[in-house]
Amino acid sequence: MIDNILSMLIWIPIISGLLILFYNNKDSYLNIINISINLFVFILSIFLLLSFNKNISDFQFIENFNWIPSLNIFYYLGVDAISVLLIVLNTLIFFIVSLYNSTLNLTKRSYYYASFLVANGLTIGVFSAIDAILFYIFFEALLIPMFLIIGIWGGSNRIYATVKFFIYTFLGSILLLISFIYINYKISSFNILTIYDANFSLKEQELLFIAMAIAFAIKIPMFPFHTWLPDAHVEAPTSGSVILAAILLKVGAYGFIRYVIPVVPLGALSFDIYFIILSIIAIVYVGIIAITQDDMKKLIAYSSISHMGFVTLGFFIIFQLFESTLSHEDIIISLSGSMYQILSHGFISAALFICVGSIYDRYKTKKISDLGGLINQMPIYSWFFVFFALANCGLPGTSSFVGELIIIISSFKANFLYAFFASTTLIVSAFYSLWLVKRVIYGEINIEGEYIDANSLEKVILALLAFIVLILGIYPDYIMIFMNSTLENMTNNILTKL
Amino acid sequence: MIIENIINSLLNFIPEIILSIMAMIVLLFGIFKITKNYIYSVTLLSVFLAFLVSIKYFPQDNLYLFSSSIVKNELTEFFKYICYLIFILQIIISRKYLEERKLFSGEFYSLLIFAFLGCLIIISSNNLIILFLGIELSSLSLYSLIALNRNSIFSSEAAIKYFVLSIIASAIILFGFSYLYGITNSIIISDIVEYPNKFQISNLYLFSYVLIFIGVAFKFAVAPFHLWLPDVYEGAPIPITNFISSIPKIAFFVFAYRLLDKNDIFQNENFYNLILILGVFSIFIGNIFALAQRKILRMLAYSSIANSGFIFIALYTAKDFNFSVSAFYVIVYSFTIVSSLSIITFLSAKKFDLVYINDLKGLSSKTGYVSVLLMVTMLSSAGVPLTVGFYAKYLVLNALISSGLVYVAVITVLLTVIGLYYYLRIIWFMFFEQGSNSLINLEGRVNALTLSIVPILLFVTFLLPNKFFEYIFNILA
Repeated sequence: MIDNILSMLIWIPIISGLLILFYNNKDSYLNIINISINLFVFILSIFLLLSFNKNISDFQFIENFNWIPSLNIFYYLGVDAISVLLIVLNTLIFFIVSLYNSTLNLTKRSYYYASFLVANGLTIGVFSAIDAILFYIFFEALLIPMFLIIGIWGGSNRIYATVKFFIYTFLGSILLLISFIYINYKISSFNILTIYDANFSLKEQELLFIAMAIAFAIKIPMFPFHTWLPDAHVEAPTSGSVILAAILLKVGAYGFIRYVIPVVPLGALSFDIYFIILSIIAIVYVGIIAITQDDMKKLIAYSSISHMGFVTLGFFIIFQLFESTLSHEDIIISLSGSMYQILSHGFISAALFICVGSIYDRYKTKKISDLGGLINQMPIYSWFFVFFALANCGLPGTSSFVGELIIIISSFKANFLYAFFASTTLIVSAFYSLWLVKRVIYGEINIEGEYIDANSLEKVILALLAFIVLILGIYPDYIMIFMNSTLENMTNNILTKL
Repeated sequence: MIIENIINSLLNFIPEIILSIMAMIVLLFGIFKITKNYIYSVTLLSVFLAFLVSIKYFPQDNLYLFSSSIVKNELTEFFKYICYLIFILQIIISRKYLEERKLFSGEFYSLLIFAFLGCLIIISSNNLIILFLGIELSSLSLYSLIALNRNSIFSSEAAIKYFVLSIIASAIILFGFSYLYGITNSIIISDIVEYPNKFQISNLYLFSYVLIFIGVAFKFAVAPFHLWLPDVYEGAPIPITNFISSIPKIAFFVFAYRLLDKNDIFQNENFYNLILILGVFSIFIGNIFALAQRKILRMLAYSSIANSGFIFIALYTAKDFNFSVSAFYVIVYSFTIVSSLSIITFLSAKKFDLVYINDLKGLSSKTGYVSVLLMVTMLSSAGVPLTVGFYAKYLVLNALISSGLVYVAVITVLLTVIGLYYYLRIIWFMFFEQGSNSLINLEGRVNALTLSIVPILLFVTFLLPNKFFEYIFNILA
C-alpha cells in the first residue's frame, strides 16, 4: 500500500468524483459518500505525513513509470517535506469543504461534489509531481474544475470572473510550458532532480525566470497580476472561494519554491529586487485597498493578496540575506517562514471565507454596510469570526504571527527598509480586520431577519480550524523541524549554483 | 509481364474500384426511387467493405501500381484508414439531418462517395496527373454537394464562392505542375522530389513549388487564402461542412508530405520562411476573427483557419525533423473538428439549424451528456490538458523551440490564449448561461452514443498516447 500511496491519493478522489457524476442528485446518501471519500483521502494523507521520514531530504514515496517514452515524459511522483505539508493542508481543507458543502442547498449537487473531488485529486497531483510536464498537466487541468465551480454555481457576474480567471491563468501557465520545453530541449529531461543539477547561462536563466515567474506570479497572485483574484473570489460560491484562497494560491507559491528559485537562481538573483518591491507593494498597497472594501469577500481577497506578498518576500529576500549575513541558516529560516505563512494563510482564509459564507447564507448579503451587531444575534458565530479576524492580522499565539514574524526578522537582516515596510502590515491588517469586526459584529443591528447561530456542523468546522490555527501558533516547532532538512538541501542547492 | 503488372495493380486497387462502382450504383438507386433507407445502408456497407478490403490488402512494402502512378505503403494506408473511420462516422451521424431536409437521396451519397474517393486518390497518387484528377474529383463533387440544398440562399452563395476560388487554386496548382514537368521532365512525384538532390535548385523549381503550396494553402484555408472558408462552412449542409473540414485536409497533408519529404527545396530559406509566415499569419487571423463571430459555424471556420496555421508551422518544423509532428496535429485536429461538427449536426432539428452560439444557452440543463462531449471537444481544440489536443500543441511548440524559434513559439502561444476565449464561450453558454432552446434536437440514442466515440478517444489517447506516438513517429521517420 505504501508503494502507491501518492497515486492512490491522486486517483481515488478523481475517479470517485467522475463516478459521482452519474449519481442521482436527490439521493440523501450523496453527502455521506462525499464526506467519507474526502475523509478517507485526508486519513491517507495523515498516514503519508506520519510515515514520511523527515530526516531525509530526498524525495520519498517515489513512483516512476515511463509514461510517454517518445516524448520523454514520466509519470514520476514523489514528495519532500514541503509537498507533504501542502498535501495535508489540501486534503484537510477539502475535507472541511465537503463538510461545509453538505449544509448547502444546491442545484446539481452531484456535479458540484464531483468538481471538488476532481480538484482535490489534481491538486495532490500538482504537489507530488516531480516530472515537470506531469506537474504542468495537473496544474493546467486544475483550471477546469475551478472554471466550472465558479461558472456554474457562482454569483451574478460569474461568467466574467471565471473567464478572466481561466484566461489569466492559462496565459501564465502556457509560458511555463514553453519554459519547460526549452529546459527539456537543453538538457533532455523533465525530471526536476536533473533540472536542479543543470546549469544554464545567465541570459537563459533570466528569460526562463521571467516566463516562469509570470506564470506563478499570476497564480499566487502578485501585484500587478492580481486583478483576477478579487473578481473570482466575489463571484465564486463559498466553498469555491475557500479552495481558491486556501489551495490554489498555494499552488503558485509552491511553483516558486519548487520550479523557479532552485532551477534558475541566477535569474532570480538578477530580478529579485523587482520582486521584493512588488511583494512590498502587495503587502502595503493592497492592504490599504482592502481597508476600503465594502464587500466582505473582496476584503478577504485583498487581504489574501497582501498576505501572499509575505510569502514572495520571504522567497526573494534570500539572496540579499545571504549577501549580508553569509549564513545558510538565515536562508532556511526565511524560506520556512514563507512556508509557514502559506500553511497558516490556508487555514485562516478558509475559515474567514466560511464565516462570510455563513453570513451570506443567512442574510443574502456580503456587504459590510448592510450588516451590523451580529454579536447580539449569533454570539458563538461572532466569537469565531472575531478570532479569525484577529488571527488574520497576526495576533501572537495564532499561526500567522509566526510566519510574519519570521519573515519580518529575516528582512531586517537583509535590509532595514524592507522590514520597515513589511512591518506596516501589522498596522494595516489590524486596521482592516478590526474595522471589519467593528462594523459587522458590533454596532447597531442593521439587518432584519431570523437570527440563527452557528449550527452544530459549522461549530465543528470552525472549532477545528480555530484549533489548528492555535496549535500552529503556539507550537510551530514540529513543522519547522519537519521542513528543516528539505529546505536545507534546497538552500545548498541554490547556493552552489550562485 | 505487363498484363501481370496490370492485374496486380488492379488487385491492389480494389478498395477504390469498389467505391467508384458503388458510387454509380447508389446513383442508379436514386434514379429508380428505391427506398431511401436502402441507399443509406448500401452506402455505409460499401464504404465499410472497401475499408475491410483495404485492410486485407495491406502492403508490406512500398507498392507502386500502374507504372508508378499510384503508391501504397504503410503511410498511405494509415491515413486512408483514418479517412475511412471519419467518413463512416460522418455518414452515420448525418443521416437524420439529411432525412429531415430532404437531402437524403441517391445523388447525395453518390457524390459524397466520389468526393471521398478523390481524397483517397490524392493520398496515394505518385503522379501529378493522377493527383490532379484526384483533386478535381473531390472538388467537383463538393461543389455540387454544397449547392445541393436548393432552398438555402447561403448554400448557393457558398457553392459559387467555393467553386470560383477552388478552381483558381486548382489552376494555380496545375500551373505549378506544368513548370515542374518542364523542369524535371517527369510527372512521377518521386522523380520530381529527387531532382534537387541531383541538380541545383533553380528559381523556376522554387517558383513552381511556391505556386503549388499557395494552392495547398487555399485548400487548407491558410490566411490570406482563407476567405472562402467561413462562407462555405456556414452555407453548406452541416454534414458537408463536416466532410470539408476533415478528410480533404488529411489528403492535402499527405500531398504536401509527398512533395516535400526528402526534398532539398525544404532547405531553401525563401521556401520554408514562406510556410512559416503563412502559418503564423493564419493563426493570427483565425484567432482574432473568431472572437467576433456570433455564428457557431463561422467561429469554427476561423478556428480551423487558426489550426491550419498550426499545421503549416508544424510542416515548417519538418525541415529539421520529420513530418510526424504535423501528421499528429492533422489527425488530432481532424478528429476534434469532426466531433464538434457532428455534435452540431446532432443538435440541429427538423426546422432548426444550430447557427448562433446563443442557441447553445443552457444546453447543459437539457442534456448534460452532449454538453460534456462538446466541452471535451472544445478543450481539445484549445489544447488544454486532459485531452489529446494538448499533445498536438505541445509537439508543435517543442519542435519550434528545438529549431531555435523560441520567439515564434511565444507569439503563437499568446495568440492561442486569445483563441481560448471563443472556445470558452461555447462552454460557458452551455453550462453557465440560463435559458433553454426548445428547438434543439435531443433524440436519437444511437447517434448520441456514436457522438461520444471521438471525445472518449480524445481523452483516452491523452492518458495512453505512447503507442500512437510511436506508430506515427515510426511511419513518418
